[in-house]
Amino acid sequence: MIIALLYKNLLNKNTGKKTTAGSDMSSLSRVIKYGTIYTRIRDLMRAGVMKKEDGPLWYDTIEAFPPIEPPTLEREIPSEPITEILYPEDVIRAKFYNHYGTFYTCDLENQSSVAKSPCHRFITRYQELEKTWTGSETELFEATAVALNQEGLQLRKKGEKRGEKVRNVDKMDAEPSISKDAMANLLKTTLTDSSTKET
Amino acid sequence: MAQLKLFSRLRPQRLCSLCSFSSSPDPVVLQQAAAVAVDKKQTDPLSHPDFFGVKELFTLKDLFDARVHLGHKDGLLDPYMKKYLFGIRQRQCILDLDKTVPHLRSALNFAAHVAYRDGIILMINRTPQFCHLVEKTAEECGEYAHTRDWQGGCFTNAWIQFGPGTRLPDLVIFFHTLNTVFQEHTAVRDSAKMNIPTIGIVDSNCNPNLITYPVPGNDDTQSAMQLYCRLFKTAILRGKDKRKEMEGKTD
Repeated sequence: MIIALLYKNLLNKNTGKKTTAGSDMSSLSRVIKYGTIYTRIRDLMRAGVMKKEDGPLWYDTIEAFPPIEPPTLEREIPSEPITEILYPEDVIRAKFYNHYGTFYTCDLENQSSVAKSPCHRFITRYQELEKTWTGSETELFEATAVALNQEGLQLRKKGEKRGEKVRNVDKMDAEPSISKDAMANLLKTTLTDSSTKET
Repeated sequence: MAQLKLFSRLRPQRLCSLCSFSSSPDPVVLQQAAAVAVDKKQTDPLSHPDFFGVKELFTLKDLFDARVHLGHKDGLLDPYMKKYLFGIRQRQCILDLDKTVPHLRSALNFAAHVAYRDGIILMINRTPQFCHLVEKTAEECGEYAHTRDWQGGCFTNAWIQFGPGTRLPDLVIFFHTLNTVFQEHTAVRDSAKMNIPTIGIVDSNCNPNLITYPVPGNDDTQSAMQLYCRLFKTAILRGKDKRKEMEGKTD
């Protein structure tokens, strides 16, 4: 943006106010350390240096709608400690993540994905079961995991490997999935077919 | 009546003011006074608490959905922003939206009033991510934006740099109070020096002290920035439309 052009164009804006060379009423007081912009202009008017008509555009507005706190440079810092936001279910959450770790993706843009996350489902189930539970906390924890397994949510312990795959190198010398007899039959049929075709 | 006579004996100079209470108030006079008051409220923007209907532009839920309550980490917290915090969750500052709502309303109201009075509004933002958005917003509401390097004497030395009689903005809106090196933007201090009121979105790592109408909120998320741009654009355009309406009525 070419600032100079912008501001030069603004000179033509009709405000009904005249600005004579050398007189820029508002900048008579550039002190920021004491008071606010409002108090400075108000005091200039009170002292008779600035007339109401020469006052800035925003003066009446700020008088009618003052800011919630006066914008002074120096202010007091509250001494109260900042509250740490914690919920009762954070205990369950901590246990869940310690035990199972994070193994799923969550779309943070979409708030409804929170309801689908395994941790949220675990917490809601845990709290439901807790109402009528008589045993220990560890038993309740395991019972929740079992309940979710039945619903279709598989929870794997942190560090536990998934089921072994055929691609595993150690399995290269293992028995083939097809039986020996079936294989022999298959070879016989294919070989005999080819031999008859040749002749 | 007996009481009135007593007062008039003690303070004769106040008799004139007390005379109006001698008879019961005339219902016609009362009605006329009420009509004038209502008329004034409708015509004079300053006597109406919300002349431009700024309250209906947003709700607290809109702010929450746009993630305005998310601040930075606790180590970056500016001590003056402590009072605007709801708390800290897992070391991330959460801003109190109950405090943000009245601040944002007063800021939008002020912007609309300045626009109503044909004031020049300058929008400032130094994050490259939202530079285009802010420039586009300013263009759409017929005001100005400055999203590039700030020249030292832009405000304080304007009459030398741009020529005598340069008119400075009547309101500066900061969509991001910090510059590219996480220090307070020079224009915050310079606006205060040149007695220009400012509106600023202050995040948990910003200093809100010199800003006339601070709005504690998230200034780094796309959704939050789009919300602010939309709200300020609407408020400014409403101010301008009311101005045209008023000018049309008088003509």
